[in-house]
Amino acid sequence: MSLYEILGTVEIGLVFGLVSLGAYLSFRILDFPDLTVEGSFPLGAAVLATLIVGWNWNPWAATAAAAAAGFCAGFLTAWLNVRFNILHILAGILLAIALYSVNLRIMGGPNKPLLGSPTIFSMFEGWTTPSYVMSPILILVLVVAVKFALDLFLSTGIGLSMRAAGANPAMAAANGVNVGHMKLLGIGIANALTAMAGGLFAQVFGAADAYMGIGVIIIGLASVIVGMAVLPSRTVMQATFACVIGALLYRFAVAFALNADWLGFRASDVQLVTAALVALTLVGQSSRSGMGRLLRRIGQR
Amino acid sequence: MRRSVTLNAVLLSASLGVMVTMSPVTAADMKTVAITMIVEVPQLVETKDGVIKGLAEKGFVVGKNLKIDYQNANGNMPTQQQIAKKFVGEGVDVIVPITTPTSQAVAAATKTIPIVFATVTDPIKAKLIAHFKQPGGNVTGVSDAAPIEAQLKLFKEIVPKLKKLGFVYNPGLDSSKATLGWVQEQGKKLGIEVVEVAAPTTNEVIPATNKLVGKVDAIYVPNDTTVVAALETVVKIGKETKTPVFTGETRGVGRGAIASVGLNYTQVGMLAGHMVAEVLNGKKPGEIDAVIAYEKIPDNVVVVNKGSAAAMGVSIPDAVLKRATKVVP
Repeated sequence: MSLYEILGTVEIGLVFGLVSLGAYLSFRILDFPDLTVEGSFPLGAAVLATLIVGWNWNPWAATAAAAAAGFCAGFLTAWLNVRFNILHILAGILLAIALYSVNLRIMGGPNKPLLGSPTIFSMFEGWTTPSYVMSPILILVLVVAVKFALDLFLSTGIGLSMRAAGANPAMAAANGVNVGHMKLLGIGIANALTAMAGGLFAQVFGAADAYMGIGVIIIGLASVIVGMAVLPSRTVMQATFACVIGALLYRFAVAFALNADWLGFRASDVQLVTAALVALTLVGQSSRSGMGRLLRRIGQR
Repeated sequence: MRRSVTLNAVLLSASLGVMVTMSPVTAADMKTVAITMIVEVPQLVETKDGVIKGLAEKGFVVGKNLKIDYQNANGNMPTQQQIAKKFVGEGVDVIVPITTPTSQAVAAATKTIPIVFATVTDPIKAKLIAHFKQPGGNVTGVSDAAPIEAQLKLFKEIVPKLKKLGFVYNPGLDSSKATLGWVQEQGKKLGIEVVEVAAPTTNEVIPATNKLVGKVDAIYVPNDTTVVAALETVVKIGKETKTPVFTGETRGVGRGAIASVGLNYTQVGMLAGHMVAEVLNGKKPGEIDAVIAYEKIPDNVVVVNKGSAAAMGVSIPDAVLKRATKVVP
């Protein structure tokens, strides 16, 4: 595995760290299994690419607009749930389906290339430090900033109300928290993070594509679970850190799978090897399982 | 808990260590060509095999002086991006990306390593190249745009009264959108009006096709993975309502469509393989003209299905039968 590939893996892992933070907010904090993500990730990509290519927007403004579009998508999902009592999973599925068509409308087609267009990484052109080193650093700064902003938000009055609304809705409501409003805001923010990730990913990938969202929810969830399995997650700060690390670990599992040909794996086995690695990580953590004890015993020797 | 955290850190660093030491050892005269695609489907695999065959024709033989590094993304775009980075990091001699998003990911990952794309329907719209002649930069390749004109002419030979042609497609696929544009453009010249219906998922193919029945003289199923997956149902509707069904891809004829003119994807790959060989021999990709496959492959493949034609109420003229590459009884 070359340095270039490692940095590329870190870059994509960090981008998915944002998806992972979003999944943490919806699944863990609000206890709201939100599937909108599958649509809001490509939505972010579509909005960003269209604004940059079609409207000559500044890439930073376009990235912010992508996040704003994601917020709207998440808000709508929560609204369907809160206002009309549509089951949360179904509300998310509805939005994800609808967003597929919306994305095609936004882009005027299924694929919007960004090759040769300005991106937030364009500013590194001509630097002595190559772009493949600077890009992951820039994304790292962004993701760390988002992580701390989220930590800070969750410790404010509204943030605490949101955590209460997810942990025990009845109790929270009895204490004067508007649980519905918390869902609207929280799911909105979660999808803003996802759409921002989509926008960043499109800039790394060189195009926005209607099929970019496939599997994003699975990657996001797996990242949260893996991260929390390997790292302590008692406080919010620890948990958000674990989410980002989980996303990185997931990408490294994929990278490992891509480089596993020497073990006799074929190109089409990537998904299987990735799944096996993630499963092994989880098994290694579960103290009740015999496999976990076995692994630990090997580790002690 | 603490102990297991340490263990995990050890396991992780151990596996990273293994990965770092795994960089390939390449002899000086050994060339490495990396091939990647988003997902394995027959045409793309044929393209890949064609590339290797084309390279062999020009003297680059796997195992002798050529190493093929092949990866597919299992349908996952972030994985595709990682594959692109992996190839660039390994510093392979040429990268051959197959399909549009795959080519974009690779083109975004490197401005220096030569790229020869294959099976990209519209490389200019995908911003891979600015123009076909001497595209410049590090990218060239082969477009697999369908031989639409030849197809429409064939359909008209079989259904002389063809005025309205139904077009079932998934608007989410770039290649299908491009094909629709070309069918409309070529159709205009031949006096054929295109009636489009969208089927975003395979489940929606039946209602979409039913909408066309009675309104069109024939139905065209483009080379669209979503619709092709449900081709048998389209054929069934065609037989029940005596509406001729044609496909944009010859394989569909074996599955019950009446006829098609198609590309031989092995040959598409071979064209790309020849271009890769030129690059390996020292030519810059930007100096090699990008090509549209059907313009370079002399004889398109014509396949007809006599049984389906009869069931859909048309007969195939002898002239067509005579020049057909393959006749399905």
